[in-house]
Amino acid sequence: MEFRQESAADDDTRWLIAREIPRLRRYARVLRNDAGADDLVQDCLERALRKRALWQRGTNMRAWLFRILYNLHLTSLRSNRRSPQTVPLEDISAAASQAGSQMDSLELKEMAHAFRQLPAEQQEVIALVALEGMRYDEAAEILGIAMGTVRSRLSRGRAALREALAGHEIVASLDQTGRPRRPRLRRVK
Amino acid sequence: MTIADQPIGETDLLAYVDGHLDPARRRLVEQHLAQDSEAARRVAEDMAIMDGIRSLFDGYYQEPVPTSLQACLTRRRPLVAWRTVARAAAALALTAAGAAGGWLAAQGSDGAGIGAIHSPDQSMVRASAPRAHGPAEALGESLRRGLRIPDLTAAGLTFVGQSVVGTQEHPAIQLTYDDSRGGRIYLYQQARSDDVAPQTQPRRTDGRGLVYWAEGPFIYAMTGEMSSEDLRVLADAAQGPATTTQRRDGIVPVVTGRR
Repeated sequence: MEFRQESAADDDTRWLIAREIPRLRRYARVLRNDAGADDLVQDCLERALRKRALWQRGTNMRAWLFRILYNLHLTSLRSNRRSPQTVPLEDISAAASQAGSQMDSLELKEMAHAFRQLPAEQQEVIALVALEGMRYDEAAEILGIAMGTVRSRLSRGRAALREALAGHEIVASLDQTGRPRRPRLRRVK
Repeated sequence: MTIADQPIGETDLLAYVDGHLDPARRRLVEQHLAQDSEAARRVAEDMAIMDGIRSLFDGYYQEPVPTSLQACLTRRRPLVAWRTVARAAAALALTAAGAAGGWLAAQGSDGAGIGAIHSPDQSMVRASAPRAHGPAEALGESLRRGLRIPDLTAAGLTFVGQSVVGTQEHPAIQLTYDDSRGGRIYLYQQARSDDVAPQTQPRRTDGRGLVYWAEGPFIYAMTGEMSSEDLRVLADAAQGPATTTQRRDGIVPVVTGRR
């Protein structure tokens, strides 16, 4: 009986880890090029499985996995002594187009270009906050930096993006119920 | 001065864009934005930019998860993917048996295919201390990264060499061990994939056992001139202490061959 309970708890943990794979893959694409991203995720999953006894039930599985992923990324950068190879711009904007983005392909390409021009440390923060909806303290914990550093990287990164995309206008429209939609950028023709 | 009295600053604008303000502070920021068109425009731009970045990477989130990643998390007992595991294991078992000296007959006259493996002596390329490179370099990235050479000295086995066997599409690593009585034990490791299927049918002969199991993204097989039950003890040792503890949940390796 005890074994069964342990086994069920272990199944739950595996399920909780598996549920995060799409998010881990997405963040790995921010950190790495296409080929290396899934290798990074695989390393992360294998390590998480080996170390799963260290994860405390009731704590944030997503943050725990992201921390593992990011640390593995840093380790690999240090051992390879190379700068991060990130996903080529064409690949990002093509993937976004396929995902049915409201932005046209040129806008997506410009957005991708502006994002990839940022220092890696700013991309890492912006992606955690924008893509994963992480709180600043969670992002700080994952990246191993102070919360103030998260804010300053976010602030500088956004300022750089605003400047890079200065040729765009903000489109604010109404949805079908008459409520304002979130503003979006549109390229000035 | 309370927090509510503090002037609206950069920290508020950042947190407003990300939806991290409590309702009271958010109302204060909105009042501020209503009077400061420059700040309002900047906040709108930031919101649009953050949405744009979400759009950029959302395609990756929507993609189906590759089987290889899901396989990392599967338990070593047969669950949903057991049929796949069994098929892949059967294919590897054929590799194992073929390499071990004709325990299974290869199908096909051209000698190609997973069952038609060279003999152990021909395939042995190195008789030296365990090394995680050499023939393994010929393998795919996933197999190479997962290569593990178990230390079976406690079980009376001496590692003598490693080589690559199998087909171009489905290479396997063969690890060879000598036992104290002059017998040989072969341990095979192969990447697990959906499209692995046996290309020959097994034909049993006496005196040789076979144990195979799946673990993470790999299939393992062990064969040697002893009963499958004895091999199973060695297989347990090959899986190492970390995985041995997992076996308490009732994981049982599949055993075929002589009992």
